[in-house]
Amino acid sequence: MTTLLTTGEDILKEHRKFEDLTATEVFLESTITTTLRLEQWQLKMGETTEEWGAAVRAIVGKGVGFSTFSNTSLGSMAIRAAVKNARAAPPNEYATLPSVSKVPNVQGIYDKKVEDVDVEYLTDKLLQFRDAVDKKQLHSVIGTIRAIVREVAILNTHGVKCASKSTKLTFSGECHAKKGDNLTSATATEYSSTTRSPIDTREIGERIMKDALLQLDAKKVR
Amino acid sequence: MEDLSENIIETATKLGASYADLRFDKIYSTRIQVRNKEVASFRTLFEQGSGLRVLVDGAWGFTMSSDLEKLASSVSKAVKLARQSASHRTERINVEEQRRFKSDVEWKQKKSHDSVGIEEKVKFALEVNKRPRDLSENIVMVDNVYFEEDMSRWFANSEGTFIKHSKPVTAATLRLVGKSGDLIVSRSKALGGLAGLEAMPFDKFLQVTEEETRNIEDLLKAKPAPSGDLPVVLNYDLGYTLTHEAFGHLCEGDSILQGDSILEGKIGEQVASDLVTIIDDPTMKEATGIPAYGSYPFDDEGIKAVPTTLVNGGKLVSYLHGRETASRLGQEMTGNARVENYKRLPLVRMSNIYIKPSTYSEEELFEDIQNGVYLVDSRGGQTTGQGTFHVGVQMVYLIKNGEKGELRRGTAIAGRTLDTLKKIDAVGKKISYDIGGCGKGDPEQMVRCGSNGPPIRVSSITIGG
Repeated sequence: MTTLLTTGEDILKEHRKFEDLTATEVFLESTITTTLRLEQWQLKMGETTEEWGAAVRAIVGKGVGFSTFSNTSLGSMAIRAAVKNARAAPPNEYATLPSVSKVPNVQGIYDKKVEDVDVEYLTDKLLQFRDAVDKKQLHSVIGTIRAIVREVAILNTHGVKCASKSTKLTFSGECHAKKGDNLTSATATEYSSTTRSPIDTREIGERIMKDALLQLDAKKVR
Repeated sequence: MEDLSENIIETATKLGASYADLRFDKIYSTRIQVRNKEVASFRTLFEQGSGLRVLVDGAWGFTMSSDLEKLASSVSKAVKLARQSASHRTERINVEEQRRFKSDVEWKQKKSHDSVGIEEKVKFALEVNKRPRDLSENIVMVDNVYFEEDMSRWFANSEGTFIKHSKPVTAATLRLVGKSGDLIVSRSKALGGLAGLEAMPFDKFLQVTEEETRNIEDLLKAKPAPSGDLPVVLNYDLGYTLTHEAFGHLCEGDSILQGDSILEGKIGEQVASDLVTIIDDPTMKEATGIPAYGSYPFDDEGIKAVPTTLVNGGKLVSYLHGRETASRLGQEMTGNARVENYKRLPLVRMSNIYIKPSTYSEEELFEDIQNGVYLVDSRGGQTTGQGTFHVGVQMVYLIKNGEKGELRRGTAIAGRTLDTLKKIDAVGKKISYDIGGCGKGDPEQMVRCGSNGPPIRVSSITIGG
């Protein structure tokens, strides 16, 4: 979080070089995601991604310009572009930024256990889903589980400077059943911000398997 | 770039990867959106980053970073995640070795994005937004976007392939809503291509804007479309929607492997009328010589782009494949693996899918219809792997005694894909080219696709369903 705020402050400093600038806002985001995917009853893929992005909103007079960039090395170019866009933009009566106000502290959106989650935990959750569905009755299953850690920071030239960190576990499952040319499917997606109220992947598996099988014997609408 | 990517790939292979590939993107784009006279969004994007995919012990691992140096330090994480998956697999994923390429392809701009100042582009976008209201009092919403992009992608893999491809994109979109009393109608249109400003002349788009405003006026005076099962002629855009959304996705190798396509096991079977030949062609060019919107010289797994015939004379002859799906299904590689950007893994995607034109002029398509409709332009819809579709239609013309007649308001068509393809009884000779996009995957990846094709005639389709 400190890194995001520091980078944001550096961007605001750079913006002050533009004499005609009325106000500036910087939004920064960093997301680390660990994903495991199950296909055809087997784990297929593991993935770890670190996405970083920043956005600058510049106001020159009543003109608003915006730019985004994915790497700090692109920051200077992006800042110049936001200012250039603001200069070229027609006046916008809503061209203002918020001032300092009390920053709320939202409880329950971050869990250290999710940030430090073990790949084994995610694997077990996926396998519980797989083991809950009946291989003999279904045509195929797909499951994806993710642990997401997201940090955001927002700063502006009116004194706003705040940051937050959140975590999320998400699971999505899909079951396909087939009889002759009749193919059916059922899906579910659930999420939780904490391991204290874990996603019950076994229950999801049982539920959507039932839905996919029920449709197999249903009549067509017309 | 080549040295650094080679080092990263070498690290991956030393850690146990039997195959590795790396994509590095550098993207610069500007987008100006005007809604109801106000600039709703005006942004410039600078994006770069790289993604590394590894195949270890028969399972995939992936890592990405916006910083190529940082990516080097996370190779071991990708390998570890692949091993974790592999330890719970009994069947190993393999990819067969492919031909190695060294290539640097640049699709040039005749009229570069830099040749026109940003002020003029803003002025153009504002004028597009203003023009419909100047021409019609019934316009209640105008939303238009000007978009330009310059993108370079580097691809390297453990087979020794190293490809750089640079391409420009220029596009504009327009959405109009008109209202008279309780009646609301809308039109949407796009223009552009994989080229500089020559792909989207400002004056041409203003003409399109005026035409669409007239269409709104006409639609507000039009009666509702008829409903029921009728013979129809689908214009190129609706023919394309049926081909891409309702049929093309069913041909994607990953859908086949995931058990989510009714075309599984149907190679060699009749899936459409014998007048129908369907091709996916990433090498396609528009009549102007500009690459069609879904074109690419190599796919995102380093496979040289080639046209693939999916349906020949109504018979299904191939699916679309990337390295993994071709290998697992024991079929020929088609070079259809694509990524939206470096952040994502390649998925099997269409490029420019179209029905091969035949010999019928538009008038000849109408000739044999005594009582039917000509349906023009799609507007959203739903399709399923189970082979059903429901697609919105923007404009309808009655066909009476072989002649195109009165305009009616938009409607929707619905049906079963294969039944409908089997009812195609004539294919037009004129192919039209348009720009389109396609979303797929979780998280969703958008890729550009050519929205191309001829008009087609279907002996019966459910309208208003």
